Amino acid sequence: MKPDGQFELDEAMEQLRKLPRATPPPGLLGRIEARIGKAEAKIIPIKQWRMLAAAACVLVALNVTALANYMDESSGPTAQYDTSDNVLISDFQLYE
Amino acid sequence: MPEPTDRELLKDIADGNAPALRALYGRISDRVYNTALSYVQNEADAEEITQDVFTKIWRSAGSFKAESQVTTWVYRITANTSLTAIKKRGRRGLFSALSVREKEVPDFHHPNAVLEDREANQALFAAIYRLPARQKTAFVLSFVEELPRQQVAEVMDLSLKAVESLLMRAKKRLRTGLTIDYPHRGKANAK
Repeated sequence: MKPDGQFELDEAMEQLRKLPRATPPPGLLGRIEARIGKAEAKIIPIKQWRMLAAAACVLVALNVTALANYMDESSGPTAQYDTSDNVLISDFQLYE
Repeated sequence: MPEPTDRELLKDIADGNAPALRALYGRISDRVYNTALSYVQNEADAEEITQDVFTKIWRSAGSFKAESQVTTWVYRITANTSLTAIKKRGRRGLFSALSVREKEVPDFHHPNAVLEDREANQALFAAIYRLPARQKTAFVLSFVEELPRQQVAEVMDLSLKAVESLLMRAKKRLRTGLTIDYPHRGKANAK
């Protein structure tokens, strides 16, 4: 004797066997290609990222150098004036 | 000139060859779509999954390992994408927490079912929908897609014995489901 539901299962499985595969709608391939194209456009290749990073590094290095030079220049003349002042003062004292 | 094999097509796809993707689509799109449809039981969702699967094939063709068949690899992607879609659908439902016990089964009629079998098919697909994920995969690949058991085992990355066991449990569950849903139950019991 068959267990409960066995007849129903056998019959349903038999119908399943006869069931042809469903096919996708005709425009689906076009939509897939459009999606792939869109995704490709968004993706920036790793090579490009590397070049961008290198450019950013060069930019930062140039800025740091420029800033260091500027700091040196802005602190440099004050020291010179101090020395020259001393010289002037000492020179001036000679004639006093 | 002989037709390129699936592996050759996949190699060309990995090199960014769009006509190769079109050729592979022509060969296997109905398998992908039909498998996805058996899982999600909704044509719009099955189309979405088919798009996802071919996008994944395009992106990951280079990572395909030649140890398995291309169709095995594609079925694995399809099964995983379909199961993820079902999970997402469950999360989308406002009362998903309340419907854990009784999954909301879609009112699905397979597009190729003949009229007199439509009700019986609907009952079977409803019962398939209620199966746990692994039993569903084993059943769909074995009986809807009619893959050999060994290939089902490879798709699921399980032993042959484990697949047989999953199928046995799936059939047991389906029997229970069908005794409730099957439209000709009276006729069946009378025999």
